[in-house]
Amino acid sequence: METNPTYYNDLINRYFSGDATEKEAEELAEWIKADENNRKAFDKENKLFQLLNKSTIERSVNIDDEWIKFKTAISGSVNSGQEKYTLPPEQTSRKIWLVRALRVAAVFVILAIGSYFLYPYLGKVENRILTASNEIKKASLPDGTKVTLSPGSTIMYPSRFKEEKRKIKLEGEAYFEVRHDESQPFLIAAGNISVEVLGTSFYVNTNAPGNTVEVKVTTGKVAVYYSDKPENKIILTAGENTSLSKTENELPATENMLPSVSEKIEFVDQPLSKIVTRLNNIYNADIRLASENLGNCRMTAAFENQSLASVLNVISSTLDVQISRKGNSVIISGEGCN
Amino acid sequence: MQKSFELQNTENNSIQILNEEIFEKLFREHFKGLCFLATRYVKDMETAREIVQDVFVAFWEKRANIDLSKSPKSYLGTSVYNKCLNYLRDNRKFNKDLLIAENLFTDVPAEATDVLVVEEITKKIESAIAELPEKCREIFVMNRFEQLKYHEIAEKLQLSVKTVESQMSKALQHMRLRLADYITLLLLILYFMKNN
Repeated sequence: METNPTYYNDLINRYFSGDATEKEAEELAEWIKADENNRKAFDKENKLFQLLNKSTIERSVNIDDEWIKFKTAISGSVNSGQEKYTLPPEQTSRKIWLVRALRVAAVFVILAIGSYFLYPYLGKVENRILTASNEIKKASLPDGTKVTLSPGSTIMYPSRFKEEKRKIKLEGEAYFEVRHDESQPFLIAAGNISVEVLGTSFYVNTNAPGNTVEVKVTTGKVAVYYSDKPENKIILTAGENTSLSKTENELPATENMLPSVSEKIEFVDQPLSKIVTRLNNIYNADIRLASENLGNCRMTAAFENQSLASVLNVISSTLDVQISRKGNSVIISGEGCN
Repeated sequence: MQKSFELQNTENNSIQILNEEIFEKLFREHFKGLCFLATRYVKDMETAREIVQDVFVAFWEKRANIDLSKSPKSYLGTSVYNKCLNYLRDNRKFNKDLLIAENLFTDVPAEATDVLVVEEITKKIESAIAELPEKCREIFVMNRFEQLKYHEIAEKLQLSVKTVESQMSKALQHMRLRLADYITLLLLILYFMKNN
């Protein structure tokens, strides 16, 4: 007798599902006779399957269809002497052989299909080019990242991301939904500018006006930097964007700036216009308001030795405004206040 | 139990011959129950359906000769019983011990669901199924309602048969728990009937 605890349970289930072989049925019968508890367990399963079958029959037997089938059967010259559903013995063994052959064929089919999916992981890495001509083009990259290319844009990427970073090249405009993978950052090379992400959705335009590369982040976090100076990064989070000049080599000097004076900064119900002035002084920045009535928005906050970026983050969530950078300036935009 | 298909004896006490209208009533009333009975034997719904269809066809062809003062239900039941046993024998699925354990081999069992209200079980089953985790539920539905065998499910979902089996085991375990009351009821009736 087997000692695997689920063995007989599985056997019983197979039996009631019609999947047990003749030998298994005999084995089951022996087991039931061996112990009253076994018999009880069998009874319970029996009842369960009866209930399930009753329910299945309710669902799947359509009486109208069955009546039509019946009428069809009696209208023709039906030879009801022959039991149609029972196979004559020689056909039974042939059928079993056929079923076995089909099973083997199925295994081969599965293997064949399986290796088709494996194929991208084998063999040399090739470079792929994807261009959208006069229509938007959507595609999936080898890691599952989704990219939407604007017409006239091109990306170049390897058939397999096997480097330290998932690196692709972009010319033009594209929207990316990057699959999250902390162990392998996703890197977009746009000329001399790099955009690096972990897992996020964002927009890159390498042909932005003013000879700049523009990056807008929808969700997640993105690092933008000049490819030859990766240690100087601009970190953009959701709702933020930036433009980097293609001709320059210096980051807009506002992002990770720390206050020139290490003092506590406090605003108590101050209008944004005053706040901006003060911040510009403290951080030596060039923060501008996109519209005048933004200056009327008031807020209360306190910062101690925070970078300008953090302060701007707090302002943007408190007042529900957008922060963007143009060159060395920071622009605050949104609905104004009265 | 002759209910909806009242076979009236005429004044002459002769046996009335079934016409199609009455036959249809019989058919509609008993088809599902007989399917259920056949399924208990052959463990396969498609085969069960075919057997019941054939039983009704044979019944129709012999209708002139059948003594209908007896219950057609028991006639049909006996017919299904015999055809099922023949099927099992012919397909090497006949195991007397197991049939006895299932109470299918002594007298012809009544359609043992008279006691239970069908709608109630169906709702209970549906809600129990909805509680299953997604993959588990998918496999369970494929086996129980789409009548797919384990290896067919395994192929379709690209899983091993062992996985399918263990998922079915989990699903059935869950169903057993949720339907425990009904199962107890059925068992009580069974033991009650046995001891009488």
